[in-house]
Amino acid sequence: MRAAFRFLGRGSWLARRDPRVPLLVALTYVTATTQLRDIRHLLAALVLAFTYYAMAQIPWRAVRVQWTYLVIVVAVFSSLNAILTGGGAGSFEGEEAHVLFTLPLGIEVTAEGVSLAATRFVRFLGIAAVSFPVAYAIAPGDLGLALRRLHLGDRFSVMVDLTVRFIPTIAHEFSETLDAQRVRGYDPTARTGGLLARVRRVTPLFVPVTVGSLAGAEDTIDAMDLRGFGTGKRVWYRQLRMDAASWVVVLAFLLFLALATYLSLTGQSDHYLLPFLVT
Amino acid sequence: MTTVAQSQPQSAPSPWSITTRTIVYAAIGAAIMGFMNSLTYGIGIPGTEIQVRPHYGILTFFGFAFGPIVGFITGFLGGVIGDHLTGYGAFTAWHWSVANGLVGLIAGLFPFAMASRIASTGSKALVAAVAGVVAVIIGFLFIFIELIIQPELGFEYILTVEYIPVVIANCIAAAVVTPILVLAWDPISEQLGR
Amino acid sequence: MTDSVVVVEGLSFRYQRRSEPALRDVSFEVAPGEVLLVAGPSGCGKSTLIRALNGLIPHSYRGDLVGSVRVGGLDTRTTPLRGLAPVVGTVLQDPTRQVVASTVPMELTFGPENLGVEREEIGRRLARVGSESGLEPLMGRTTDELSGGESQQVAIGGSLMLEPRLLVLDEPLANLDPVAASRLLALVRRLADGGTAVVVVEHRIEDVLEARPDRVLYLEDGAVEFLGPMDGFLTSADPTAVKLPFDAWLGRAREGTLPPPVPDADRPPHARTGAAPRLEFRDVDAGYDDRPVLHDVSASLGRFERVAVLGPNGSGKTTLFKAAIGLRPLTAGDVLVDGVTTSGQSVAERASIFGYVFQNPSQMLFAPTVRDELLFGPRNVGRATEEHDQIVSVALARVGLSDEEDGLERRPPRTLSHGQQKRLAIAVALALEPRTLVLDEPSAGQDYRSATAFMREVGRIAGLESVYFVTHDVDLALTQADRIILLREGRIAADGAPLEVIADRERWIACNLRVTSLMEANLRWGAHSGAFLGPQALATLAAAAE
Ligand SMILES: Nc1ncnc2c1ncn2[C@@H]1O[C@H](COP(=O)(O)OP(=O)(O)OP(=O)(O)O)[C@@H](O)[C@H]1O
Ligand SMILES: Nc1ncnc2c1ncn2[C@@H]1O[C@H](COP(=O)(O)OP(=O)(O)OP(=O)(O)O)[C@@H](O)[C@H]1O
Ligand SMILES: [Mg+2]
Ligand SMILES: [Mg+2]
Repeated sequence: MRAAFRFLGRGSWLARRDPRVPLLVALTYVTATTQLRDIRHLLAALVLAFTYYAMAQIPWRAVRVQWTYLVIVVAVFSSLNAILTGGGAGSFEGEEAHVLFTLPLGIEVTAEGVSLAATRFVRFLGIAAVSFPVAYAIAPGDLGLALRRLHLGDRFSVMVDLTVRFIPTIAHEFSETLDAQRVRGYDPTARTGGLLARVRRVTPLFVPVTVGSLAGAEDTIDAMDLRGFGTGKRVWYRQLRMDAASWVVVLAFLLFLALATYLSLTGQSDHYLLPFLVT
Repeated sequence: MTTVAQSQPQSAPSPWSITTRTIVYAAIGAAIMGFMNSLTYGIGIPGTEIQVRPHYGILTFFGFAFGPIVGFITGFLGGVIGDHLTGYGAFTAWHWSVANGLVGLIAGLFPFAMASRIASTGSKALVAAVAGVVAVIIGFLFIFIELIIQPELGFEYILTVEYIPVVIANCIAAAVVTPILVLAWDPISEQLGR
Repeated sequence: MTDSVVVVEGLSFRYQRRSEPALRDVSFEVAPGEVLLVAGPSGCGKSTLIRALNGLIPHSYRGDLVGSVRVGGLDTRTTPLRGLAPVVGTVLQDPTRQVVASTVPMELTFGPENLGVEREEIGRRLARVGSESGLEPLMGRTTDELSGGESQQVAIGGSLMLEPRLLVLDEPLANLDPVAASRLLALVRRLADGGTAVVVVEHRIEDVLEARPDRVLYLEDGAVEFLGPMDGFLTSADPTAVKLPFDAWLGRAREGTLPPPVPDADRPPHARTGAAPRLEFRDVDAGYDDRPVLHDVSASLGRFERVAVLGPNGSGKTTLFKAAIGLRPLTAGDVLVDGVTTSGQSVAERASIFGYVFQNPSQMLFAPTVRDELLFGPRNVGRATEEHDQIVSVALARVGLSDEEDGLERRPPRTLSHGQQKRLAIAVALALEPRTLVLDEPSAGQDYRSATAFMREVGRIAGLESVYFVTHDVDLALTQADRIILLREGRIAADGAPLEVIADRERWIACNLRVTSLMEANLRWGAHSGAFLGPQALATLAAAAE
């Protein structure tokens, strides 16, 4: 199953840093880039993002499918957005929009629209690049600890760990249940019947997985209660230490955030119309 | 020598109390939602581009059956993890995750608001369907926060391209799947009797 | 005996929603360094007793509690769970659900962390438990890669991290192969020798003898039926209710106190041979995306045969039958059913020949009523509505559920008892009127008596030509099957009649299988019988031969 938190970046430079680093970087990067509008600024940010991505040494083969899917989704989404909003009325200063060509149904594709689409595409690509290490360069189990050290509560941090722990189980349950029902002639992909009937057709899959997990949770709850969970102050055995290199990475991104905020507040990062589209 | 003890029943459950049970249920909910969110599947509504993803009914079920906290975490963490597993970036669409969380939370307020009036399992299922639909309609209003974070999209776009299709699809999922799960879980939770 | 770790006096408990108590007037003590074995049939209250010892009753399960339980001097009723946690360590029946962390070291430190033990102290315990329980090789692993046996080890380690004075284990051997089981029992013995009191729940008495339990507490219907030393228990216990070593049977036979043999109680009627095979594997390779499991498997399973497949965890037993019915694609070779290739056939098409019953029935039960559950398959394959009543009543009757209680058809399937769910799962498969039944681990989670009776009933289901099953229960396979297939690392290691297959002892052990006392006895007296006999028949025969 694809849906596991696999530690693909094991042993990489980034994975040897403090697990709070990927979380903080993702957070700062998202905050920073949502403030930037100028595609030239975002391209610079993209370089930063991919430099950082490279430090996680995530094997390309393992994430190729995800990246392909992602690029397609983001590309479609960005262009749809931009085209349908007609270049984002009011996003650009100045006069009339520059119509490049007209699609059927009278939808106009403008230089502004395309610029906007490109801008969003670049922004999302960067966010994806800084997000992958959160998934793949944090050792399993370090996520909860990192969250705790970022001052989230004991119970919330344990819960995140527990969720990560349950995902492979859930994935396995889904595939076993699907097998068990197929033996009984169940075909989840059948295209027969009306909409509601087709929605209802998930029942043989959803009910055993959901109800089975919940019934099985009794044991998990007992196991936690029996080891004194949630009854008092908790100690975290493992400790985290922000080494110098970790600080350097985090500071670099904080600096970037400060810069982005400055540019945004002083109005220096407005939408930029790609000049080669307007001839 | 012998004494009879009624072992203490837990004090009247408040919708906001957090026990080990809350945490485990929330983690299960988030794991299921996260996993399902990471799959690309959907049932198309004929004549539209709208895809119904039935597992949104699992979200409203978790809220309805186990309260607002479990509901919120199921939706929020499930959204974050789903985005994360697809490679989309855990916080890229954080406001959508929050909206999902609110859906679960609102669905979880219903049973407490009307506990005394729900008698049979059958009427509970009906209430669950209504709760699911209402939760979806209200919860997803949160995405209008894009008016602030991405003002270039404009109100009309957010309404017609994002809010309405999502609400239609998820209302269908919630209305159909929530009661099915409530009906399946009710007799079993009775039997666990804890 | 005031220095006992456990003092239970007049304990009765009734779950809140039950009318009958689960425990009735139970009293016993456990001294430091003592191993107490708790045995009894399914539903007799073993797990309830464990919950009473570790404080889940009364703190987490509601009901009426009478009498008192003191553990390490603490009254469980007045001491909160946090106070009891450092005194009692518990290993639950299903270890995979007990594991809450995503890595092994985190799982081990979970308890002490919750109780606020100092970090240096946690570190010391981690090192000690790691080496004493043999967990060092697992330290770098994530918990989802652990096998059932490894999870069990980790779960025990997690309890030991709290340095309990009492360790309670609920059916710890259920998921373990013999190698892992021996290691576990040796650990239990060592802990007891070090002064820890141990309570082990297990109904397979024979398998647990290695830990040399000091005393046995035998429960029936919630009440103490026997409490005393092991020897006394072995000579007095009912050998059809719990699994005793063969010597206990033989002793009974010599005394002439063996119950009169039920006709073909031990053994199903003999197979008809000579018919064309039902299922043929020809050089089959199959597996999962990135993991080939079966390699070059060739075998043919007869149309009127009972075949048992045995092998270590992960050897590909389940995959073998999943490949046969099309749930796993073949990467090489071919599967033939009744002489015809199955390539291009759908799973549903093969369902009319093979009824496949998964290990865990709850993985498929979803319908609001038993009736709807049974009709799901027939509806999918388009059986007419007029036939439905007939299908339901026939399927329930064939597994003996119809005379169980009125209105069972309308109950939600998951509210049935575990044994009823197992039988319902078979009825579900029978509703499609297959000619061969394939069962994955039919004995899992059942006690000895139910498991044996269950397989015997399956053997008698009318209209079934053959039964193929996967199991870890060696004696069940040897007594109930005409033919044994041993799988090892995805290859067939042996294939033949029970007596033939067990003749090569080294191969047997290499497949991680247990050499049971019944096997030894069959090897010894097998020449007299010519077939692998069940304990009752063999004991009678052996006593007569002497
Ligand atoms: N949580 C519960 N609520 C209500 N009744 C229960 C609960 N757990 C167990 N029981 C009932 O109490 C009785 C004893 O069950 P218990 O689980 O202790 O048996 P057991 O000896 O452990 O059986 P097994 O060998 O199947 O594990 C049974 O009748 C069971 O149905
Ligand atoms: N869904 C899956 N995805 C990937 N690998 C799997 C999957 N299911 C099983 N495997 C692997 O295939 C191998 C064979 O598994 P299989 O379930 O056939 O073994 P088994 O002999 O039935 O074991 P057990 O006694 O534990 O049931 C194992 O190594 C297992 O980890
Ligand atoms: Mg039990
Ligand atoms: Mg198996």
